[in-house]
Amino acid sequence: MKTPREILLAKHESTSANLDAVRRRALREIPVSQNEPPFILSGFARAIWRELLLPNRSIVALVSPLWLLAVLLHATSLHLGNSSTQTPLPSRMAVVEGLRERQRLYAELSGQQPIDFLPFRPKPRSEFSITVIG
Amino acid sequence: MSENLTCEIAGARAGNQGAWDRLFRRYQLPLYVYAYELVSNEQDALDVVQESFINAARHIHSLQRDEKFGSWLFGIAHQKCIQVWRKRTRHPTAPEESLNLDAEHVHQQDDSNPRDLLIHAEQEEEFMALINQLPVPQRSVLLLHFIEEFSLEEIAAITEAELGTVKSRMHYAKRALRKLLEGVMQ
Repeated sequence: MKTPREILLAKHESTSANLDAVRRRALREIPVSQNEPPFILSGFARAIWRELLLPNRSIVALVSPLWLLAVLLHATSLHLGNSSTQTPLPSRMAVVEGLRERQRLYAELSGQQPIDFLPFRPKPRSEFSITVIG
Repeated sequence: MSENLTCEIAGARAGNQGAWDRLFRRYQLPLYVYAYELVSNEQDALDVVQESFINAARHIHSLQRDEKFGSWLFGIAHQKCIQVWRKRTRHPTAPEESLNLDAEHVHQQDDSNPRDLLIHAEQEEEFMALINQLPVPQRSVLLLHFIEEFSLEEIAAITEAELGTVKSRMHYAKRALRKLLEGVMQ
């Protein structure tokens, strides 16, 4: 007494050699690039891909160029903003000169004797003296 | 589905050639039996098996549930068999489509286990003859039931038929088989 499966498989057992050859040919036919999955995701990310993105791939395909355009526009505007609006900071000397000019104008307007500022000239290092206290 | 097979499918997904080899070994004979009994030609059946394997390897990422690997693979083979019929007949409709005439829907559930059906040695030839006499859609359903013990839902998915149609085909195929077995016993 045999089950239908046993009868069916036994009838074709003799084809095993041909099937082995078929299997080997099929293995050779698998392209190397196809051996690798398109990308390796695990766990949650894979579930997100399968449940959310894959079923709605047409919508994702439609929306993705818009996102790409938005990102490109954003990047372009950032680049333009950096190159045109950014001005170099004034040097320390220019700030000091500006401040002195303002003080001179203020003195003139208020009728006071304008303070004559001498331009700052650093002394040579040899003229520095260290005072030791105590 | 055994845990071993689940591991093999995971390995195959990762591109492991050894895993593919073991999966192909597991399914090569059942797949060949199914294809041969449908297309009735050794070379065509071997081609169906080979092309099914290659397609499975190329499209494994489209398999959503690993436990459905078997029915998914048989579904590929079933489509290949339809292509063979189309080539032979040069007719736009496959037997699967044209033989839907027998689909008088019988909504009774047939849950009998194929392992419960035992056939005597002297009945084997009659059994194989009966399988070959059945209309292709009934034969297909019965083979899938016997070879891999697929559920009616899985058979419906493999053959891309309505569940009611599959139930009807199974009912008529089993009734024919029962008649044969009773006749031989008498």
